[in-house]
Amino acid sequence: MWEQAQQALNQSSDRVIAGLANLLPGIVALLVALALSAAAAWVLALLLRRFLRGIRFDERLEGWGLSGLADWSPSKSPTLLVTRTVSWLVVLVGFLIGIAAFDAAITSELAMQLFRYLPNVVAAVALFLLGNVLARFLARGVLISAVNHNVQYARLLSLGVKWLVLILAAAMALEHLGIGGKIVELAFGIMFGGIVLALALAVGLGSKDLVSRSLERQADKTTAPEEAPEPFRHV
Amino acid sequence: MADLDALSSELKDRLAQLGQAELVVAVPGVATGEALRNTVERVRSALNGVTPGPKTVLVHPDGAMTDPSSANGQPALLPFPITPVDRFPAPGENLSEAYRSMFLASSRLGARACVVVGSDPTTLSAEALQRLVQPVVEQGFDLVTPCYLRRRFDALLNSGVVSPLSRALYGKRLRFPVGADFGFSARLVERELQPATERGVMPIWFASDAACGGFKIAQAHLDVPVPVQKDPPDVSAAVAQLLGPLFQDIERNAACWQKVRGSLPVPTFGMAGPMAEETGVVDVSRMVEAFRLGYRNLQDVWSVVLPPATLVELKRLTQLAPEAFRLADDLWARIVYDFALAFRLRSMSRDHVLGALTPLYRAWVASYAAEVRTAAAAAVEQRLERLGTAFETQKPYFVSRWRWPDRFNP
Repeated sequence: MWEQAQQALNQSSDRVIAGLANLLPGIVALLVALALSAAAAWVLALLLRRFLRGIRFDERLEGWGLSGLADWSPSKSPTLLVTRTVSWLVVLVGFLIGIAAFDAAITSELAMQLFRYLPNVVAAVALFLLGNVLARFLARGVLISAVNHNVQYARLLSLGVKWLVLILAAAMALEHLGIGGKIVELAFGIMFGGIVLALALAVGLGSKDLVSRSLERQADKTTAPEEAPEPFRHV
Repeated sequence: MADLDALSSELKDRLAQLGQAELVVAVPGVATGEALRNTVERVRSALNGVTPGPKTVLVHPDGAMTDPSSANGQPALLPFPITPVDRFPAPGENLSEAYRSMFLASSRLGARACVVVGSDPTTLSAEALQRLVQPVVEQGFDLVTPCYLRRRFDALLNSGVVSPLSRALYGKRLRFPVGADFGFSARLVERELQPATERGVMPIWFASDAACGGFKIAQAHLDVPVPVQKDPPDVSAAVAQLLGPLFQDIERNAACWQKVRGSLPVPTFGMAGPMAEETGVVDVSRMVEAFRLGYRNLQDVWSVVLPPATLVELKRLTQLAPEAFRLADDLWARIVYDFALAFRLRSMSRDHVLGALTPLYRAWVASYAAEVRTAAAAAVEQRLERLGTAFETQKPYFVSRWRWPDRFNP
């Protein structure tokens, strides 16, 4: 009895050791792949950083109206953001290659699925970043324009535009990631429609007095004396 | 000789027929035959005083000749040939193209002087025209800029920004660096025909080009009000239309204006006429309220452009009553300089930079209007003189920020 138990234990420890021994080359391969990809990422980041600084990438981005990207970048430098993103992508690719080195169907399949999913992730991140920059740009433009037209709720208007664009970008990014499926579309449609309806109601109800005053003024135009114009001429 | 390819073959043939001329008078605003006849008479009277009477060519838009009220071509009435040039762009369109057409015609004719009358020539007296021609033809000036009859609140962007800024940067005390009527020498015409980048819709660059090129500059009183431009739809559009090209010009001439110290008056021809009174009601409270609205909403935007000390000053201003509202000249000068720098650095979209300046400009208008609303002409001139001096005093601040923007980064 004791011998049988000992034999079973020996067999199971042999299996564990054999399994570990089988895994070891895969782990070594993963570590090597990680080390190589880290080295490649470092070199690539160095070259890319030099190139981007050479072409004054940060200043050019500002010139293209994408200065908002700096706020999302480490040390306020879009160059650093790009180089770090690229280097982490290279490390991730190295990691996936390392995973594929395990001689197991499940890890290979996982790696393949991740590889197939990667473009979606990149596109979603790019979409969200672009949406963010666009949202900030449009929000600032609306804010300035509304202030210059003496709109009292300029900030509200600007915030509305910003969140509309952000929500749109987020919905598009989620769609690219395949998360939520129809629920995201449906939720976005309901939310967007709701916002537009709310705005229409707010403007309609809020400006009721304004419209009636404007109509009254129009009606009284022939009888009432005209308001004296301002004497300021700017050009 | 300038490249004439930009002119139509028809116009080139016409100019070739005309041969040489000593003076070119361009009237881009003349649209009818009647106006053209009037203009011809005035130009003829003006040239009676210029000795010796120069052979003159009048260039005008095509439309004036095709007006049925004019006798076909009417060469018999004219002491000098007239010729239509290609269609001039309407006000607000690309003026640099119109000026280029006029300068090409002048260059092709080998004229010693080219006078551009952009305002309504029928309102301009013969004496006023003479003051644009004579300094160039008889006294060797290269550029004659206009001096209009200034009401207190006319051409406020010129009074509050363009004139004091040009004075501080280029060292020439011109009342209207930007206008519609100019006299040019052949030298300056050739200089202006050199290839240049797009320069916007306002002729803002003549005075700076002439000052930086070492050309002789004068100004002439024309005894007419500031010509009525096609007004931009609102103040922010006016700010963008005028100050965008101005800031671009500053960027282009950076190597020049950084060397200039102080300013000098320029020779002025004619006497300033009486200041006309405004007819509208001066209500600064609306301008002050617009500024306060800007302060409440645009602090994030302004903090990208302005240093903290300026923002503190602006906060103090928001607490003043409209009647006591005063924007100090030094502060205003620094604000304009900071925005010119932000425009150059593209701290944000250039449209946004100019848009964000608008509430601050309104604050300056409110402050200026509160100060001079009942002031006499001399007091208004003194007020604007103080503003010009403030821009000069603050110029070292601008030069430092321009050279080392990061050192002053707010």
